[in-house]
Amino acid sequence: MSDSKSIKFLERHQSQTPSSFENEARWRQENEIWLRMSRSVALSLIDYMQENNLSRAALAKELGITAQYLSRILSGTENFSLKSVAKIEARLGVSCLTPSYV
Amino acid sequence: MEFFRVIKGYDHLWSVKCPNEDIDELTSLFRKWSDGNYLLDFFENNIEDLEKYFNVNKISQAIKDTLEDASELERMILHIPESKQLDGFFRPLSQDDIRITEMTREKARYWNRSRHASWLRIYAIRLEEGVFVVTGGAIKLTPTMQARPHTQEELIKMNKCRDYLKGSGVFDQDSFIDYINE
Repeated sequence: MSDSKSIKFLERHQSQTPSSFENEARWRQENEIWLRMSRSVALSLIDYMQENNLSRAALAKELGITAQYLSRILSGTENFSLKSVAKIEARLGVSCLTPSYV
Repeated sequence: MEFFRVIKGYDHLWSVKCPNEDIDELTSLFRKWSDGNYLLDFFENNIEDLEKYFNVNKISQAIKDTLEDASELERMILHIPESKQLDGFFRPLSQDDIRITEMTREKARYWNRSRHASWLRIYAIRLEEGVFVVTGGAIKLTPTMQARPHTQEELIKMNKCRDYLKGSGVFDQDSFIDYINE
């Protein structure tokens, strides 16, 4: 137990449940490499949206996917199959796993 | 208000949870800063500031830089128990706060970004040497916090937390400054 007055106060008023930060941060760090690839796909789509002045709804329609699935892609945490990435690339004529983003 | 120890077994970094929120501020910040949807909305809504103050006009570039900076900040926080550099990680928010010896409002950012300064800020109150409570954070694109509602809100949160801690009798010192101009 600390002698510090402020730490004693914080301990008396601390939550019964722990912060999720540490676990979530460690998960992101441990999964950094594939997350970077997933984010590369998301960033390529965001470029495409900005260059073509498209809304999310318009992009989902162009890709032939639901708004919910597009949201998962744009979150940057979708664990794609290579087949899915290839489909997106073929639909839009873009390269999604560009070195500048990965 | 509730306080969350950020790193298990480590006393010196805490995060506050306001009564109307589901999760503590630090967890909330890093969820937002690693979410492409949130960042896309944010930069679409703040594209003029992004271009004006940082000369960045590609939203994807802004998101990529944010994701990278958030990852670096996160890594630094996770390594604080080994590095024991919390006082170096946070810096006083304003010239006024440099003069305050207890309970200063602090900001942390990733200081080594290339191309442009990092716009990510974590705001905290320094309770004593090496002891900080995170009150929130922001993507700060404008020179002052007062310039935009989302950064102004962070000032309000910081002051509320500071007032709560003062009101709870944790501190004796009474020399705080309410208005800052970062």
